[in-house]
Amino acid sequence: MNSIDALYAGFVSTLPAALLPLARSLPHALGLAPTEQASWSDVFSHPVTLEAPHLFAAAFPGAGPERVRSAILAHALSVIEAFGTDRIADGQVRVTTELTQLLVELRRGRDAILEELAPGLGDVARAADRETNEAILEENALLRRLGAATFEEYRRISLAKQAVGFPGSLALARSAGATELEQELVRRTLAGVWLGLQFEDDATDWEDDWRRGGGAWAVSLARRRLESVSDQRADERPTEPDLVRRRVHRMRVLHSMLRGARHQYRTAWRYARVLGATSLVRWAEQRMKHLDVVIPLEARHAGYVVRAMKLAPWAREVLT
Amino acid sequence: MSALASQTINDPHVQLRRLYTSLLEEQNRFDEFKQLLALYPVSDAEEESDEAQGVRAKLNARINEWLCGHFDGLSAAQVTLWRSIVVEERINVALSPWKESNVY
Repeated sequence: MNSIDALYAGFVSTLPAALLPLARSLPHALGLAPTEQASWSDVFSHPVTLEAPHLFAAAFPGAGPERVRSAILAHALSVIEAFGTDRIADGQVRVTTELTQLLVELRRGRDAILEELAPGLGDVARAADRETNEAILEENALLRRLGAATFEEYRRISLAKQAVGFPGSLALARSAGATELEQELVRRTLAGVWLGLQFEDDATDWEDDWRRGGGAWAVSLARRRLESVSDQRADERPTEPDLVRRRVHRMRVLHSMLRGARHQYRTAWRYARVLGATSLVRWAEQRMKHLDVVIPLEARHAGYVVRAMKLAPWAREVLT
Repeated sequence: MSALASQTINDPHVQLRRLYTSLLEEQNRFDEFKQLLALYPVSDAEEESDEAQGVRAKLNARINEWLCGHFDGLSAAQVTLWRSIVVEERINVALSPWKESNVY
């Protein structure tokens, strides 16, 4: 069994019996997996998403394997809880008593682990929950009204959305006696990781986001860019898919988002290297290498990254 | 044309890769490809219907134009596979690559 699945199973075994069926099939219940049997390790393609503290382990050998495991579980519970809260907030998942109770248990479990690792981190995690939720509300409001957005706004809101992704790794660092400077390096590394993933995903999946009706960052960024080049407000808000796509392509925002992601991965790589977080260094290198191939193609053929994603299942099936 | 170049051009795998690349590089082609696939009727019958044959012939003719010839044509099975992925967005892997980070 994958380590994250074993850790989650250990947590589930501590839950009241009434919550066990839901807890065991939570990836499916949250709409993140197609079958009830899917485990958390099946859901995400990047280990950093649920196991970020693991990738910092080499930087803090004093923590020892047990505290690394605890930090991974705290981080994973935090992220899973945030997915649940978000899915309820945007109506993708029906609220039930069991789900509400399970989310409470996820937070309780996370806070207990964090407090044991580093007293005070439970409060940090609860503040992070609020920051993430507020950022999601701000993002939804902006994107749904098709508001024009600058890259600075995009970065600010995106970083706030990722607040829940920090406490687990910080707890690991503190438990190992990390200095203030080292903790700041952890924060900067994580900011690069989360923003890089966010920008890359938002560029690749923007058409799906748009189709779901909640707006998309690519559209809002394109709108702002159009205003700046035409020196006037882009009052026209096209909703016809082809027109929207043409605007996004013409404004080259996908290319800018991918370059932004590349820059963030480079930032993560730089700070991870200073920390000696070798696994994260390697992971960031792989992301940069991937984008070094994709960015020039997106520059030459606008929308390349979206089409590549749509054709990826076929390419995997037939071309490999 | 050398024997090697001719062999490469006639390689079905190379032809499919060229089609894949051409779709990646041009949104209009991708859209037209998707539209033609959507017109291809789905059927459980073993024999391809006249209508399906007609759509497939048109699709293959367009692909031939995009690739400047040297394309043997997609079979009925290949068109069905493309259709399930591009039009129906049915993913033929165990799990889809879910969004990594921006849901939370």
